[in-house]
Amino acid sequence: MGDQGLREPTPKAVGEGSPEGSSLAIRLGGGTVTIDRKTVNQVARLARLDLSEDERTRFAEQLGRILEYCAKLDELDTSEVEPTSHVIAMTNVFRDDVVAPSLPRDAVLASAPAHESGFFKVPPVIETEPQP
Amino acid sequence: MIGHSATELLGQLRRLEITPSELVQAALERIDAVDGKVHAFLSVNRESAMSAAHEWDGRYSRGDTIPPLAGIPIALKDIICTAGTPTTCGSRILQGWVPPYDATVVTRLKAAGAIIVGKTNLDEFAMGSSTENSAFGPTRNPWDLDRVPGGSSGGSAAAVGAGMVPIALGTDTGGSIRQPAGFTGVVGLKPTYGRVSRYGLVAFASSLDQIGPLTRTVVDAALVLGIIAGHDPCDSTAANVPVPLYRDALDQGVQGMRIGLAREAFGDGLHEDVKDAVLKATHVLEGLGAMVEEISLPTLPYALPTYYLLATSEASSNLARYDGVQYGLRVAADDIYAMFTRTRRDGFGPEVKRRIMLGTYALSAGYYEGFFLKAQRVRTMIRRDFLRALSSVDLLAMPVSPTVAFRVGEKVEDPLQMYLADVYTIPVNLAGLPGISIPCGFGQGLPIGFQLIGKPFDESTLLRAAAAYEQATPWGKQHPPLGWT
Repeated sequence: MGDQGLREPTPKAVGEGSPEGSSLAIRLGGGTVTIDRKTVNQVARLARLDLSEDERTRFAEQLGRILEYCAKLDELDTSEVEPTSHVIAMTNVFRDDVVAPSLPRDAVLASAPAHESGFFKVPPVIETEPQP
Repeated sequence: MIGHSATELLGQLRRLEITPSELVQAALERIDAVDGKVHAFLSVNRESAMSAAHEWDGRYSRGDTIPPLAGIPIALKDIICTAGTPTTCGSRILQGWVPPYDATVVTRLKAAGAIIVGKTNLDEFAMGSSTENSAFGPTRNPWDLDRVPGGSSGGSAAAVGAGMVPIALGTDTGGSIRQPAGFTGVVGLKPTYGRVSRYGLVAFASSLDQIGPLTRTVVDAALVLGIIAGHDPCDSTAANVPVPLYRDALDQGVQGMRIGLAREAFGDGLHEDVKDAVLKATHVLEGLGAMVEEISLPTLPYALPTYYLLATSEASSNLARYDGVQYGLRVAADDIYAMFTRTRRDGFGPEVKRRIMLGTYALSAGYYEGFFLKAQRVRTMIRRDFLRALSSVDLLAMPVSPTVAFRVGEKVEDPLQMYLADVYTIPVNLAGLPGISIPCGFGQGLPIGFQLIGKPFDESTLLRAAAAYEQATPWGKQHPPLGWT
């Protein structure tokens, strides 16, 4: 560590020839995680992204390489270290509870793709989400 | 007027040698002359800029009390909300969206008399290091039109670098002010996290984003920071810390100042031209009376992976709001799930999708501990390293980027190579510190940036050292070969 400077990542692909196309096994926390088409499909569903076939193939390969690089963090022992979600030590920032002007409804709805009777308008919300 | 600093122009305005109308007209003419090649601007507000200028004409000629930036044309990165004018974030998903309110920085700049001439290009949602990820086409480097201007605030950097405006605002999540400033030969200041309100800044990674100025001189950066800094009830992370008079500190020099050179920042991957220029810059500071010593930041090599896990995780959450319901693009569909996924498919570009995917993965069940939480713990170690180093020195010195500006198209197919362009700027955002990029020479005819990093909320010391360096060297006075008259 330390005096090695900042090295460029040298990703090594494994699991070539898998039926799902390119996949990559990443060592992490003593175990191994794999990025393949199935992972990409699952993540795309969580992220509400409709990806093309080409994007699924490309992201499986690129995310695998990026995450393998990120697994470098495993070299550091963080067992005694608290996580930082925010650099400024401030909690419960209060202000006086006073009424202040807010945006007029019409100004907000003016940006909406569709609205009706003062509400945002969307297509039917029913159980249409495809199951994994 | 082209190429003068805002401070010089304010002097000319006060002496009635020029009028705000002439100045804004000159800025618009310069945009007309060169922006066809550079593409720094996504929109230009000719009428509103000229009408604001006419108002200041009257106030100058009557000898009224004049606020600190009265009549100065400025540009804003198009991720900062401006009421009544489009704010696209360089994304198709927000194309044509007109915010119903001004960002706090916009309110403050307008109150100071600044005239907004336009909104500048950026990597989509500030995600990128070259401004090639804009949905509306790349910006070019004024020093070499085949090169990128850096990113993500590439439009703001190019607008200042090419003499279209003396001041532009950018945003810096992992180097997006400092890196393009370095690539285009201008001054770029990323304030301490919490120094400037983010209200009205479209969020990318909320624990890292910070607004700051790109200018021709350090004095101008100090001037702008003094206007935009400070507590804001609309942003609970805009710290309630007093804002000093930055310009008062500028001429105090660096005699006795201690500056640390991080050993880990000068290893593999750093281009020789950049290394030489940065080391020479530290010798200049030594010559001015500073004491330069080597220090160590052992966790520096871990900053890049830490950043790409945390920034993408925060982005995947922040960008969930673009769903075609409240604003922006909607791709019509029969059910709401298809509307969400198709809107996001057509609205987001490849890099934004890639980062949303990476962040969603890092936050998902089973990987949260190993990736996201791990990165948050390493962030603690990185911040501690920086604060420990800064307990024995006043400032840290580093390169801004490992290379000079690269060619358009050179890195677009390789995300990891693109990410490495920010290897020296990213750690500063993770640690929440202020950093500045100032021109320190040329390599292959392209500008090189010198980065100084300060203690939390101590922008004064940072600006003081940067000003001393700037006065002792000729680099900030160079202009790109773009028809200067």
